[in-house]
Amino acid sequence: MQRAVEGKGWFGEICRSLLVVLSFAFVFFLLQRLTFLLRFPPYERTTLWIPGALTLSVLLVWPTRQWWKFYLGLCLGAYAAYYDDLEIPGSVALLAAQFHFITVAAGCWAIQRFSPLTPFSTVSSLMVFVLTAGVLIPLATSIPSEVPRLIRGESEAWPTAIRSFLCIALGMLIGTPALTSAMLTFRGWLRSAPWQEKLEGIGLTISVLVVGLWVFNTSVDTNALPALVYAPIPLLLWAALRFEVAGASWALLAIAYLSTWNAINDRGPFVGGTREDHVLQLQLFLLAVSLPLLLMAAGVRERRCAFTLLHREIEERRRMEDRFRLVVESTPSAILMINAQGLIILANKQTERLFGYSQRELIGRTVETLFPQRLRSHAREALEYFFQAPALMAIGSGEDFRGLRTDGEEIPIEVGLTPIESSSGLLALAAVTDNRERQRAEEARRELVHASRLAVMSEFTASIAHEINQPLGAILSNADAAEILLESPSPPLEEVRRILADIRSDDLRASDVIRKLRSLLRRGEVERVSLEINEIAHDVLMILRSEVQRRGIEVRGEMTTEPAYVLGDRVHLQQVLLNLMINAMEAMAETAGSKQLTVTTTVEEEEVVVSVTDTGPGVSRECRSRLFERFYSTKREGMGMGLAISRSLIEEHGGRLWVDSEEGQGATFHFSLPAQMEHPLKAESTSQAVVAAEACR
Amino acid sequence: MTDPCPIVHVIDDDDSVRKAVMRLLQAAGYEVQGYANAGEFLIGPPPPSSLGCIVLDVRMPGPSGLELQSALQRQGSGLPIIFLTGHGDIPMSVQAIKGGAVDFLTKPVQRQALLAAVQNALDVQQQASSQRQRSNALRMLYQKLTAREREILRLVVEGKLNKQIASALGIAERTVKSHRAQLMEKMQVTSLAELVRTASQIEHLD
Repeated sequence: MQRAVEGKGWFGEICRSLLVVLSFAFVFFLLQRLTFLLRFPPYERTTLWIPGALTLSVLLVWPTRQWWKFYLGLCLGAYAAYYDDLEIPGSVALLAAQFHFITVAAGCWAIQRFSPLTPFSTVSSLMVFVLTAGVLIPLATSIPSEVPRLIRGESEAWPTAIRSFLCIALGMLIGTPALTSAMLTFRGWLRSAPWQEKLEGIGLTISVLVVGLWVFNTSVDTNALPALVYAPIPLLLWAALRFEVAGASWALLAIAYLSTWNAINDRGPFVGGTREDHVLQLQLFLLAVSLPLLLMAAGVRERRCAFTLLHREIEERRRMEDRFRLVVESTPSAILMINAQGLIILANKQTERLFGYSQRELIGRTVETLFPQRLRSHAREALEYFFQAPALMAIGSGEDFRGLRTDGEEIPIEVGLTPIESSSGLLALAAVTDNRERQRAEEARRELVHASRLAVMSEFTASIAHEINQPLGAILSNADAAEILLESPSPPLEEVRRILADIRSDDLRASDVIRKLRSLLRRGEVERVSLEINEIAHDVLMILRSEVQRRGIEVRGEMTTEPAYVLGDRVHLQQVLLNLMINAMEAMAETAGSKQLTVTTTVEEEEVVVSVTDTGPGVSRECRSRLFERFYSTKREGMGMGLAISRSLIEEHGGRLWVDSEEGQGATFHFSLPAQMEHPLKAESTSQAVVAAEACR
Repeated sequence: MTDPCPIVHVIDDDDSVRKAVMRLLQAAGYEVQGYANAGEFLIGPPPPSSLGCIVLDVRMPGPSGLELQSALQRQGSGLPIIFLTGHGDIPMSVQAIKGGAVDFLTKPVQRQALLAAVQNALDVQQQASSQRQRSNALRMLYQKLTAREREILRLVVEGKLNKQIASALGIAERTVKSHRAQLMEKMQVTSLAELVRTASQIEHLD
């Protein structure tokens, strides 16, 4: 089966090749016979020799490995054409064909070697073609056959050689583009060209034939020659401009054949003088017309290609620009493009909306005017820095940066700059983010954090009052005692002085408590300052001292001896610890055994970890997964915000909050914070301290 | 039998508060003793019959003021207690008063209030102490009575006439009269009214 298919393929291949050989031979034969028809009778010469153009065309069109078919076809066609010729026997024709094939193949190789593009698409490639097919091949073909006569010094040798040269050159120059285009592009043109163009083609063809017949069929005085022979020129120009090299070459070919045919029959402008003159005149005329025409056609083609390319490029640019504009317009941020002079060269709709200017007002404006007066120098410096060292850059992130609307309102914004290399130099793509929403959300969140803090603190107001009343009571009693002592006849002044000292220290103690409470109660700005974690733990333990006592809980503080500095907000960290401790105490409310609360601080490599351990019932697995959700609470009166807020506060500090617990074994809540390396001011270490160890039964 | 000078015991864990209260009371002329917590007080408690009072903080590490109060009650201590707290709530004060506290004060405490409370407590104790001495004496007198005399005393106090007593006991009216005279002498009273009051005091003591 396989063999059969292979056999069939092989057979088909042979058949196809044979067909090509025979077709080529037939066409060559026809063209050669056509040439014979156009011979000027006594000289057996003609104006142009087309078969050579056919050979060159097929060699240009088909790949080298197919050339053998044309070689065979050529031999066959040449032999057939000269079969009945009386002067030149078939064998001589066959020999000439060998020589012809070699020169044309060499010429074809040269053309493809020196102009890799289609030979007729650019002026330079056409020049290569003209040099090869119009000079070298004709020289190589015509001169050798005339060499013996030239050597003998026959008078007719030179003119014959020149005529022969021109005949081959013209054939090559006019025929090759025509035949090549017929083989390569004609079918495509027929299929895809718009009907107007086809109509134009038909119109041109008819016009050329009519004008050609008319001009070269009109017997006139030799004097009228110049004027009349110009008549086809407009048509040739038309062909060259509209149909490029292919159209021009076919039109030339038509003119050449018509003029030759009429000249042979003694009609038309080329009929004065001898036959040799006719041929030469005709040849020179055709050469003078065809060379510039072909060059012009190639030039037109080149221009058109360049124009098409340019057009395509412009289209592509426009599409890119459209896409870019779409992206820019559909971005939720306001986008601006700023040049190195600080001028806005592009702004999207969002920018209009954000700043209240129209796009037209924005473009050409300096970008500084979009910021309030006090921030302009900052913006200018940032932009200057950006253009000096172009890299991704943010202005106003994390700080209170504002933009100025046209109505004078200041809006919180953030600007991200991205460098863009464009043909007109470095540009800054500025993405402006409107922070109003975010700021509102932040505000709400801070409100919530504060409310949650107040809620937690309201749970132990009694203890807070106790904590303040204690020193106040001491002060009052001391003052009373002093008063009584001073009423005595000889007041013990030394004792009174001691009393006054005690009053002062109690007063300081009360104000200390109040200060700590105030900072917890007020809603201040969020800060990022260096804090010692043990100090925070001590403060919270102090605030909760009475509460712990009231609940009969034993509190232990196991503080690290290493300096443990973190960067953060004092109140927020206190709030987290407060939440965790209150939770721990509440968890132990029902505990029958000893109630122990341990606050531990440790320093681990790059982290400071604070742990709060209780001896309560622990957290069940099911609870643990939901523990940090908002509105989840196991307490009867809990809001379920404490842990969720605590976790978000810790995460804001770049830390983590987590729980370790076994049911029935108590629970430990930990939070870690990135440790601040070596505090610059103080490095005193807090000694391991057990803050309080009190038991109540 | 009794200390001539009453002692005010101040129990408060807060050093500065304790010191200030003690100073005030000393300046006011009292003998004062301070303790940092309930335990310290319980280690060497003053004798039950000693004179004085306790100024007690409610909230303290270890046993709270209220817990100390009930412990002292169980021991039969006669020392009156004044509570002094940084922040008192109603349930706390109710519990304290029910437990027999003479006063419940909150810090910061006014001088007059504290001194008045202490004085009041000492007076109360003074009274209780003299009362106790008196009833002890009465009890001793009562114990000297014979069974018949006690019976007659009961009936007299009930308001029975001699005749009725005689018939109730099945003895002669004269015998009743003689027993009655004997009994009034033994009880160191001169009138029937005085006898009735004394008898009621004895009854109350039993």
